[in-house]
Amino acid sequence: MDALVFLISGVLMTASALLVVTRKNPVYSAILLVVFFLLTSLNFLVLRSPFLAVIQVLVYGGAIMVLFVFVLMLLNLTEEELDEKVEPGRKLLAGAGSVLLFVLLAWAINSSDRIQAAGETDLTGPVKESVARAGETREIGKALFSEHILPFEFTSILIFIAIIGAIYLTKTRRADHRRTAEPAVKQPEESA
Amino acid sequence: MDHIPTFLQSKLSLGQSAAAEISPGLVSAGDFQAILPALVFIATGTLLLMLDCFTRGLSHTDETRKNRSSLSTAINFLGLLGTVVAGACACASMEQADPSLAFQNYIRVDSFSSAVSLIIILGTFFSLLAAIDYLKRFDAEHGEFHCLVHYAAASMLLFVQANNLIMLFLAVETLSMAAYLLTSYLRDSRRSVEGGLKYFILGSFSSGFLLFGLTLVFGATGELELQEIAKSIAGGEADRSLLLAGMALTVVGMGFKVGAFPFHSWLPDAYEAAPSVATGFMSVTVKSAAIAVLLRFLLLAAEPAGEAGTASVTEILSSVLSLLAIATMLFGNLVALMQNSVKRMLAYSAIGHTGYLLVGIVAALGPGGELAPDAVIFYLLPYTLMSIAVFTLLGYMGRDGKDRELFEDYRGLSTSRPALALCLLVILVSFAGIPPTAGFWAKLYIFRAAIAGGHTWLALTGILASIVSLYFYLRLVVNIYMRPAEEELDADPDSSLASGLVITAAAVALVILGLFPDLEFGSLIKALGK
Repeated sequence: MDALVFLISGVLMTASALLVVTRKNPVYSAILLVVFFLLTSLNFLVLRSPFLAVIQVLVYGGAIMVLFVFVLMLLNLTEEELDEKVEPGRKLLAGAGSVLLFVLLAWAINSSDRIQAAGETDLTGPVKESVARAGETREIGKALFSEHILPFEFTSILIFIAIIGAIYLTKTRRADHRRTAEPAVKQPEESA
Repeated sequence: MDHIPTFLQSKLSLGQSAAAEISPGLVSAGDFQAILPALVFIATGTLLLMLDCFTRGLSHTDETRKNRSSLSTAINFLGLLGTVVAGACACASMEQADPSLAFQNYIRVDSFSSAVSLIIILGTFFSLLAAIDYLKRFDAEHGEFHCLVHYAAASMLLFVQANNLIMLFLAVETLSMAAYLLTSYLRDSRRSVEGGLKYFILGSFSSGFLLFGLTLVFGATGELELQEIAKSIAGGEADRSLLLAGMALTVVGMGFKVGAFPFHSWLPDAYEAAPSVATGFMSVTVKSAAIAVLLRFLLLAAEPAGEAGTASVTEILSSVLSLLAIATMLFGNLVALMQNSVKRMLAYSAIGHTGYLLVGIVAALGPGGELAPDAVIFYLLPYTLMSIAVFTLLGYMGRDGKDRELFEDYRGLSTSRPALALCLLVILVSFAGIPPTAGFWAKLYIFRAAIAGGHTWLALTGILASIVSLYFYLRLVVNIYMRPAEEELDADPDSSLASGLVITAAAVALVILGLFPDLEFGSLIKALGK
């Protein structure tokens, strides 16, 4: 059963990932990316990680995709802008890189004893209690605030830097400080 | 039901163990002491941001202008003070002999991390000093600059001290984020913002590789802690192919961060686009931190020589890295030959210097590489001084809101500013690695370690690349000393003592280090905790 779900979702994931990078219209790419995220979360469920599955849908499928689509709509690209050509040499390089990465990973997975052995693991029986509880929000919360407190708190610095940067880069310039040409649309004068 | 559930449970310590361990004594004072320098940086950064935020005048009368200038002075002073305090804390932690662990083994303080921390703090101090008049000239004295520099420094210190894959990745992301923002700091300049965006996209891409690699290393060993990973590899429990793939991707990710050859494409653009003080800051601190962590990571993962027939993961990695090192040295120095802009030339030569550092790392991985880690650390010190000083000078000699970037711009500097020209001469000679300066010893130590480890080819390529590099460093010297000036050269009238101080201090330090290379700096770094 697990294998069947994995096979079907694997094929669909590969297909949707390929479609994401080949679509001309970025909105289609974004929607297909949602499909990809949902299938990923299905795989987390198969791997008995309900928390990860939910987070995957909430964060990637929800929050990040909404932002993506928002930005795409705001940019409102015209036909010509979407038609921008990428140099063939660059495409070739990217393709070669992807193939190389694929070969490396395929080799690693294929020749890994640990992964080969995992195929024989029987996942049908009852799950050990400790493992079953490991996926619970409560346990994850406890772990985050005890053992993993340093990286957890440090993440806030990372996010803080990102916020400072976003505000700093987008803040309205004062008129007397403007060096570049005036933007076409007059921005509302306001100091943040 | 074998290993997958058990390692999930024991290493991420979800499940039963967490509940039992929540107790008031979970985080002790010792934990905070271990990361004290980073905490000082974070506190100063936040303080400066708040100070700037709440006192910045909204109207633009002369009165508020005046207040602003005294406010900037206060911010500059506090920023430098914070750096000095952090440096003092790092010095204090250097005294302790034994490596210590903190925050549930997330942090490891040993003489290696303390030494690299000190170099990073030194770089930060000089950058902040140089920033004083640079920012004034560009009318960009916002508290955000100091805040970002301090946060970046804090995350670099934690990066160097990290003893866990999660912390490693978080810290590198944080310092990269700050670096992207510093690149686009001059938000009114199109070039700066564009360079920042390019850096951001390629940097995020490389972080993906790094994360992929670290995850595979976790998959191969079932461990997140560096010491445990080392044990698992040494005990032969690690899954060889996953480990190899993981290490390869980690090297790719870190290769981006340090700007090694096939992954260098962001570097010249970002270095050119960033304001010169930020370029100086990034070029030394980010590189020092990344090189140090790469070195420690690869050393910890070093396997004992495998049975005959199969090459060990370390051997494969070491041969890949030597190819990278050769390509990086040759590429960086050859392309630097063709540049007309001094800033771009310095960017490509920074790639070349990454190549020399990679030689040191390769030497450290092989047998007979005991000298190599010290050599790498020693290299970082003069490199920090030279790089910051020369980027400061680009800004210091700038005019009309621009840096002085072309070779021709430096004609006749020796007649109008003889002292400055002399300092620049010392710095360039040190870059090229000519004797009475520290740059010579730095290269000598690296090449000596390479030869001791049997990597004669690497050393020969390095020497060849250094000879090539003589051309473009001396080209600038020729412009300074042997070409007449077309116009009167002088520093920007806004420039104050601070930039001159950075340049002079760096030049003097380079000569002193060059005359007395045995200042026993290296011996302080002996214990590279195994």
